[in-house]
Amino acid sequence: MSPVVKKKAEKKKIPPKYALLAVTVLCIILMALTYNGKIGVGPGSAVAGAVLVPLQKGLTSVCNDLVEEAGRRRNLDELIEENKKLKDEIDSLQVENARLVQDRYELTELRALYELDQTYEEYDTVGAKVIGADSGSWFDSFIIDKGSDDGIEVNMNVMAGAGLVGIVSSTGKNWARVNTIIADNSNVSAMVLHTQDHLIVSGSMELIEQGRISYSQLIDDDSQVQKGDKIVTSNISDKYLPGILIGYIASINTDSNQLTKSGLVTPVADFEHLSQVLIITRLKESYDQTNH
Amino acid sequence: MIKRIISTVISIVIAFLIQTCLIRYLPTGRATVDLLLLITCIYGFMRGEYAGMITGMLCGLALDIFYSGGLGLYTLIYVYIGYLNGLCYRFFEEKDFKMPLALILASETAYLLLYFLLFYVFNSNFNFSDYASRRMLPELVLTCISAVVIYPLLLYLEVRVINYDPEEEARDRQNLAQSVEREVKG
Repeated sequence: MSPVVKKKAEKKKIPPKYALLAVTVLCIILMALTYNGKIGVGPGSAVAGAVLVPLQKGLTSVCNDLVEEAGRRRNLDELIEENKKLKDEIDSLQVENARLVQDRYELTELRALYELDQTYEEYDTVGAKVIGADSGSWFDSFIIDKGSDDGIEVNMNVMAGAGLVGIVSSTGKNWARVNTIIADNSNVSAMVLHTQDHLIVSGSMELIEQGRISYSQLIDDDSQVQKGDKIVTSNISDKYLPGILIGYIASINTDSNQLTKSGLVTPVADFEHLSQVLIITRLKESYDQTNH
Repeated sequence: MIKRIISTVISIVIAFLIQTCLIRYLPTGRATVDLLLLITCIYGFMRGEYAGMITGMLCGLALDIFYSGGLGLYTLIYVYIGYLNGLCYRFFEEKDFKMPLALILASETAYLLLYFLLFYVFNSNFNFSDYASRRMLPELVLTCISAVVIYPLLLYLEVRVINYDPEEEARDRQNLAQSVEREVKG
């Protein structure tokens, strides 16, 4: 019993004030060193990655199983009806698909003729699971279960389904953090697909709940851009690869300067239920190099 | 001592996992509870400045590593929260539930205001009323609810399981009271 008491007494000798001061100084030094990227968060992230990431992975997979199981027990009638509907849909899609395959064949031929073989469909992707939401759960950023060991690098673009989700902002050995485009401080240089007009897509706290993001600085003198137009990442962005679908225009307002327009975009990716994402393993820099 | 360290680490890991993995599945909408902050407050209040600072440091480091661009920002905030709550250790009373609840709410409010300043104002978003209604209020309510559940749990563990020794406790308190008196006199 006495050693316990002794230890306590010894510790109390340094007044907490000074310890606090020391920690403050240490933190400020750390911030100065790490925030401008001079030193990585290497050793710390290795420890945390070894301890916390496996637990996060396990827990997330258990939860996903449970949610799936709950979904499986839905009403049978509902499922039968849905099945019927889906079968009808498959029929119509098959017809359409046959037609599209033909078109595609033609397209490849024509592309070959024009030597236009670079399209965004050709980006290589790696799948990853979302294992942790932001501590605020707004999906400002989230953690995935692949890291530098799997070839993930900072600034790689992340998609879910067909739409852009965000960008890798830091990596550990077996995890990486993704900053989403709906986050408050996110700005993506984009363009309207059919008119090639440039605009800026920015995330915003107030709009997250409506499942929207906003855009601004659209210059469209002839009013050619309409609701429902596709917005894709632009080729002048320094971090995002060109031609990735972001979403569809939901509203258009003319700004008070009468020159630019702004409004809302409905993103394609479902930010409410992110569980699987695709990481494009190609960086914008290398894309630029190969194209010059 | 060893029990305290283990209990701190385990509760931080559990809180972190709940916060990052499980809360998504709960039907609370977008509002969440900052469980790490809660734990920092509670341990600071129950164990004093040092424990509060160490708990805060571990929580802050975990958040820094996973969610901020560098190291130190969350750590600093959490260490201060742990320290400030630890200052109130002298008022720690096993049967008093109002004091810790008030402390937790005060800490959460301060943290959310600071968060607004750091992550919104510096990104030139000044819409405070929106932030208050969408994030602050729901979080404060949820924090209140979870504090009512978690504080008694940790208190029970602390007092009845981890370090129950009435004599030592009394001696500690006496020493503390004396030193406070001395401080006041000096």
